[in-house]
Amino acid sequence: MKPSCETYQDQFVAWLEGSLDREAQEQLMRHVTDCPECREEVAWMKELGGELESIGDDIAAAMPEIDLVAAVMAEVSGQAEPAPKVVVLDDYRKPRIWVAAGSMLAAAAAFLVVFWVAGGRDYVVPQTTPMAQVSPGLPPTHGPAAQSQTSAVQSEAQTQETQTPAVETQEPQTDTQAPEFAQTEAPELKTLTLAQITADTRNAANPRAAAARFATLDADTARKVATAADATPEAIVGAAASMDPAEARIYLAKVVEQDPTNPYYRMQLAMASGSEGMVSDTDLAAVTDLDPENALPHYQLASNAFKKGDASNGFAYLGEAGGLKSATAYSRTAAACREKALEKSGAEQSAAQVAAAANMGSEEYRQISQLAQSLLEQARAYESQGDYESAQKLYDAVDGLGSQLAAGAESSGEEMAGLEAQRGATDGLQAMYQQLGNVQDEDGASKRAAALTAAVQTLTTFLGEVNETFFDDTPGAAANTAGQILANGDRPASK
Amino acid sequence: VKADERTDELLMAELSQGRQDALAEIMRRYQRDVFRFCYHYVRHEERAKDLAQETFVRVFAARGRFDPKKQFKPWLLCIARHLCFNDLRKMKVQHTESLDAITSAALQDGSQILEDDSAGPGDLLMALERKQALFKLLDTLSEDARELMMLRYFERLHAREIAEITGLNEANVRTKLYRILKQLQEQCAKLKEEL
Repeated sequence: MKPSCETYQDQFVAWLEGSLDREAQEQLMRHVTDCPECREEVAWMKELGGELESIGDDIAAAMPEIDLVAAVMAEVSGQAEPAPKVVVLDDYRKPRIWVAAGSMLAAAAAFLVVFWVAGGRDYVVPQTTPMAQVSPGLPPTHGPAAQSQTSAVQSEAQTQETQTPAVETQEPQTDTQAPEFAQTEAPELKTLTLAQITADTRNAANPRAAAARFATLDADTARKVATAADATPEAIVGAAASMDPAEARIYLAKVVEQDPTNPYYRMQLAMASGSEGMVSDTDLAAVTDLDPENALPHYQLASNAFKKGDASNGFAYLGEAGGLKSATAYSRTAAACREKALEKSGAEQSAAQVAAAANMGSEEYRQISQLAQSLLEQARAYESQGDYESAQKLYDAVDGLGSQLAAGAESSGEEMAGLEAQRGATDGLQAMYQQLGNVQDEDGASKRAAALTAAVQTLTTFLGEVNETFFDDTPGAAANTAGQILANGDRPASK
Repeated sequence: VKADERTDELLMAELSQGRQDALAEIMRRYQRDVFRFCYHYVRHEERAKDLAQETFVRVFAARGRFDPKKQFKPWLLCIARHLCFNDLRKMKVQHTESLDAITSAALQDGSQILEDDSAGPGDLLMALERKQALFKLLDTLSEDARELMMLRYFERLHAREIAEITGLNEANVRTKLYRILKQLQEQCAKLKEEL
């Protein structure tokens, strides 16, 4: 066999088992027709394989008949309690307390540092400042208070730059978003193995962040995955998550055309199709049709409307959102897509699972945080104008978004973004009541803020425990946990 | 009787919702496969039966953890495989040299060859000898290699399914399959020369 023919060896195996796609098969046939060595190769492989199969058949034929049904049914009849649906805390034993600090600031900051920021691909989320700490007074870029306050606020924003890079609020946003994606630095993934991830995470300060880093494909690989002839919609959408929006849009549009009923695909297209910090209204409206129970796209439509200065539509969308029970950014679908894209890139299946599970919720955390931030800024803008009624409506809406996420979040990242949004809204209300001399309501808001802080800490501790499993040396532990997270999400079962 | 048209994955969903009759249907579909699969590992009829039974008990216990987006059969065989390895470890036995009744019977059986009209008695003998020699050769392989051969050729699983069961990468499975097959072929050729 010629050295150049060696590349065909694996394909022979695939061909003989009947799992080569037509194009590859035709190409192989052409080669085999011209190459006597390879013809011989295929011939002996087929013959030997046939003989082995025939031994297997003989053994199968010699096996006695069995019927285990009655025995097994008798054994399981005593254990009929409902199966656990969600990842259970027991799966993450070995408690490890990451956060001892008592403040929301410390808890949320720890959450970010512990999990995603250090290794995250493009998160502009704050490393030291949670949403609740973002200074009040930032104006909406297009809202009612924008014109009179722009210059004062810009200088204020500049002085805060080091502490609050939380969300891009300055206009124009298109310029600041592009490099965010361009800066992406991903490890080479073509031969990613679980061993590689384990080696990288074992001594990392943030094991989950270290593992999550592998969920991002480099630009070339992402393109290859998305353009592969047999790429599934999931793999394409997963690959698009590693592209800059302009390129992602092309592939996402094709997928949406093929499968117009998947709300997550449509949501991704909306995110990639926006301009000036807004997501595409048309695609968002489509998401609300596809998944009418999900409040999140309604909030995004509201945020868009406020940014355009269209307050009446903004409040109308908030009204629609408020009538729904739950919200989600589809973290589980997102993680499944990333997993498929990684697999398609040639990564080991267990490695793809671990990376995708580690990354689960990080993108959605960012997305929801940005949305909540923009609505809170709008609230503060009304407040500074003296329109306390409108401000209160917006704070209440953000609080509502948090509750809906608590009900519908598919990952801890989403849930955390919801809690932080609620905490931001509560802080805003507390400050407003204080200014208005409303002692009773101020006291209520203060108590609620304390409860939210506790909730953030609980979730952070839980995630610390999940984090443990990403550098567990036990063989199969990381892959096992990852499989569970991908199937059930990474939220505490107690919710 | 109309065949049950529920997919395996649907049956698992029903099982996780508390419908135990779904497990009975799953067992009717797969108990033979699992029994044979376990037998290939432990080569002991009674233990293989116990392991098959335990596999379905584990399926029941893990019913809430099955991901309906994945294929059921590799998941099922993955559970069986873990149990077989545990059993082998416990028994501290590698695959025994001696053949138990099932394998011996299988390797003496020429019925398939006789079905071929063009085959004469001489062909039968040669084929049987060759089959037995090949089976012995399989036993000289490493545990991992023997397992891959068994999964691919005895159980006729595809590389993708084998990858799911063993946790290896699919492409890696194919590469290994090729190399092991090549190794077997070379040894077969050597045997032929010696004869």
